[in-house]
Amino acid sequence: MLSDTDFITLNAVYLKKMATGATIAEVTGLVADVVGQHLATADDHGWIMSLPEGAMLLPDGIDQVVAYYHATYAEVRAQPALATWYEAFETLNKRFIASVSEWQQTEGDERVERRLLQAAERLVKDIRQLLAIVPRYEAYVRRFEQAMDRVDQGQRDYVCKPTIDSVHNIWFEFHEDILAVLGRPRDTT
Amino acid sequence: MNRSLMEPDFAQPVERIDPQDTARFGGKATGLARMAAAGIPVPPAFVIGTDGYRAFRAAGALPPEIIAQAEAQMLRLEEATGRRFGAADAMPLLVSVRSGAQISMPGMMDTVLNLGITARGAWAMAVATGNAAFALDTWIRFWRMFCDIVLDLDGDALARELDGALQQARQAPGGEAFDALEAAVLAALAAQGAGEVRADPHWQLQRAIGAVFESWDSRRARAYRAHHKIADDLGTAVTVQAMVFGNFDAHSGSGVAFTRDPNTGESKLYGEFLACCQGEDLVSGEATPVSLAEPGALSERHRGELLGHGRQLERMYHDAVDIEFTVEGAQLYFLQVRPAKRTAQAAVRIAAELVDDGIISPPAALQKVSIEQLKRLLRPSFEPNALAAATVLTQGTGASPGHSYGIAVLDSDRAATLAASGQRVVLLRPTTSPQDIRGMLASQAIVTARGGALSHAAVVSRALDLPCVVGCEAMEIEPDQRRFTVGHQVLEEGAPLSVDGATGRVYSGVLPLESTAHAVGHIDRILGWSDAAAQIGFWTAGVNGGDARAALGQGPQGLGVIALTDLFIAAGTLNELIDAINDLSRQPVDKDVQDRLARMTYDACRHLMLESTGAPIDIRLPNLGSPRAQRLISTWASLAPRLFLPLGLKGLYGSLLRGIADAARETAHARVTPLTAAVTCVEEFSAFRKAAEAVGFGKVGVVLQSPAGLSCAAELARAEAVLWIDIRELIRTYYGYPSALSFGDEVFEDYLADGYLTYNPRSTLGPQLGDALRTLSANIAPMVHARLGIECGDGTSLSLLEDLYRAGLRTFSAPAPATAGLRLGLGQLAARSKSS
Repeated sequence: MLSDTDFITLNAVYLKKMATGATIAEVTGLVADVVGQHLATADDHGWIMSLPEGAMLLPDGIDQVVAYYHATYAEVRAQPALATWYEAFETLNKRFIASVSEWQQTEGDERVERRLLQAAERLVKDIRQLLAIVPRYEAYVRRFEQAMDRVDQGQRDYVCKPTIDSVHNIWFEFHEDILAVLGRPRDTT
Repeated sequence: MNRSLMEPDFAQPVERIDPQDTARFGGKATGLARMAAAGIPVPPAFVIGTDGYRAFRAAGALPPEIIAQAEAQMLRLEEATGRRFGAADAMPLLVSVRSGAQISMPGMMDTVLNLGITARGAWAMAVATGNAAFALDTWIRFWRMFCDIVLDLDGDALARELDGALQQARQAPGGEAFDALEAAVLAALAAQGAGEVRADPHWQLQRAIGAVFESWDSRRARAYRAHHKIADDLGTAVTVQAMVFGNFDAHSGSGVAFTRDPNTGESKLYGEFLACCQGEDLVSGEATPVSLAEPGALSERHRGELLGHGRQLERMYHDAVDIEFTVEGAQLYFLQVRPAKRTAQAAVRIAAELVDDGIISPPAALQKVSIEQLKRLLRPSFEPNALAAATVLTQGTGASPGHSYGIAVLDSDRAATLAASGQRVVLLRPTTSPQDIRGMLASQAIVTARGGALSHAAVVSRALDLPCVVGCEAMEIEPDQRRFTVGHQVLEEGAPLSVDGATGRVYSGVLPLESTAHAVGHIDRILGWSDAAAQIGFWTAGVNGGDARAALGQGPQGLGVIALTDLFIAAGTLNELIDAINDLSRQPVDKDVQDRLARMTYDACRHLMLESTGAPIDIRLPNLGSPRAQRLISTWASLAPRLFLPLGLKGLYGSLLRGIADAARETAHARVTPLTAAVTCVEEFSAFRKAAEAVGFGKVGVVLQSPAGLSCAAELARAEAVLWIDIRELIRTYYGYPSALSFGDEVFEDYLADGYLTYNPRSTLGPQLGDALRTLSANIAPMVHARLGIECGDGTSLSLLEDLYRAGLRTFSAPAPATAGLRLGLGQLAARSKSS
């Protein structure tokens, strides 16, 4: 099975489909050289394909990532507390996605933006409760806080622009991540 | 009275404060004070200033003086409303508590509404209004907000916990059921770990005031202040305002009014009113409100008040406003006034008409319209005739407006690959996830079979401003089989589709696009004001005979920089040109080849010159050394190498000049200026001018693309060359980057993130280039006949344009769709810098 750091590196590629070393380092908090080493190893194993625009997972790599999720979080998955946590998240998720949509359609209404960031702050708070069982989620806390600070500073692209580490992008990656931890399929929204 | 003998006035009625003193009372209270001073009816309120915050911070808790003064002010609110705070036997006085700093700041406490209800008070409310459901909703709404905002716990979870007790209280309302509900609230909060919570409104008010003060020190507020270098000890004020109720009796109600129609911008009272309801009911959409346009929607008196005060407010806010209002009994109250939200179409009309009404100046009007709004109004749409004849393939939910077309591709990776080879692609997916981003970025439009207006595809498309249709339920997409099915129709990947992201219709085939403009008259006026503020002139590039008249309608100084190559492409004769260049490369002095070149150039230029009605045209000759030439000419590598140098061979440039001159002469066009590209020294220009003069041109120019060209620019200007700077090529060659194709913005963002660069050269001019251009424009300014322009191309970032403007450059050339944004952006910059 993958080592923890191998997994963290490849999981970033898994969630983003294609990612450069710099992006992986940014989202995981790993040092760029370490990311480079792990990508090189993954390349040797035939887990990834390295392209000029970034690394992509090959089918073997996807299998490795999925197997890690499956094995590592088997016990976590059995905890009823996590199922309850996820239920509360779904409510929050609906509220958040509705806010993002309204924010876009009102061209960034400030009141909607406040609601949207309140939901993100709530999620950050809730993710902290999971750190004891999924320590790597610390990276999401850091990314959310950074993206929110940028929005607060007027860089409104960090609300939901898909090409940067925006609040919506992080939210969506986190959602995919927690679903993989729980071993649940994603619904159409 | 000697103030020093008294304790400070921490809490004061809003109508008694200095409306200018936002430092002490914050924007909300001073806004209320200004409205009250103007005679606009607002519910009674008081404010605790920032001195109160400092006393709170020094004491580490709410000091007794503040508590006492707040209680004294509450007595005034009781007097003004005739209701008692915490009353158990009659309709109680409820208040809202809001933060109010001088600068509005993220992370500050949001509003707590409906504070002041006990179980008995809620029951009294139910009795007084004859509406138990209303009393319960008001009460639970308070607890939810108090839980969320003041106690920083999960309000949603509280609501879920209370569901059972609430159902009981609804089904059998009464004092006891309400008492039980209150006990359930307190128990649920204790279970969430809330610590001490009391059902006592006086205690709740103190906690809410304290929570506002504490929120000044929240993580986000501190980060914001650190970034903006705002002092940490400024503090925030707290505004406490009496709540009014639109569901108080049959004469009451709530509404929202716009001083101008937010859809069209027309100056008239617009909005809606819902009798016997609170503002939230209006938002929830469960009841149908009456339009204010209906006769009798409001009493004549209230209508007159809204109109009259609305005009006053427009002058106070220097903008169209929306007004949330409530009628309680016979009294109209203004609850909240804000600059009104509006559509793009309304934005341009409102901006222009506020100037006509003498409410704002033209430079101020520029700030009322965003570049995005302008782009949206000028966005191309399907040709009406083609649309009328089109076949709807399927229908989904329009999720992101706009019209576009392309070939259907069912996989994001394939979409990215095909788009890179120049195909227009429509991405068709069962549903999208973050893993589809690359394909979405490369597509013209996005269609999904599943998902709604809140799906990933919808949200991302709106962020990218791409047309998107979601939830095409009748469509079966099989990405692996590379086919999709609608009913009995089976289509293969590669089928052409056209997508209307507003109506949700997907059409078979390609529907051609044309540029449209709604509200054109207003846009022209605003862009005219913008040019006047910025003192710029613009030229329209990328024009051919077919669209010259439309381009000239926008009022450019001229058509340029027009690439001669583009005229060949428009005429459909590019391949003949390439053949002739190949022949010339082999036989540079062959008269027949040269005549052929001149003749085909004449043919390619004639239409544009006829259609341009005498307007200046700057035509740029092809530069065979460019990456574009390398792409277009398959035999490029075997051409005579000398052709790759800026002037190349006289047989080529001489023949092209002759063809252009012939066309100008025959169409009696006297203002055509030929340009030669990539010039590096005056000698090249002199040779080019000699050849141009020989065929009858008076004015001749250059397009500079390199540091060498830039360094001889002033000398070229003295030699009376018209100067254009191809800014993107200049940046590329200045830094020595490879050809333009490898320039992706995200590539630079990544590179910047690694700390390898201090700025992005695509969006920031940088000190050295900035200085060089500043010196050049200063040197050229005194030369009366000199002309210096920047050729921007499409997609040049606004921040780069702003840097160029700051360097003193005032003439810009861009393709027609990009000119409006360029003009407005620079006008806004100029208006901002003048007003500050």
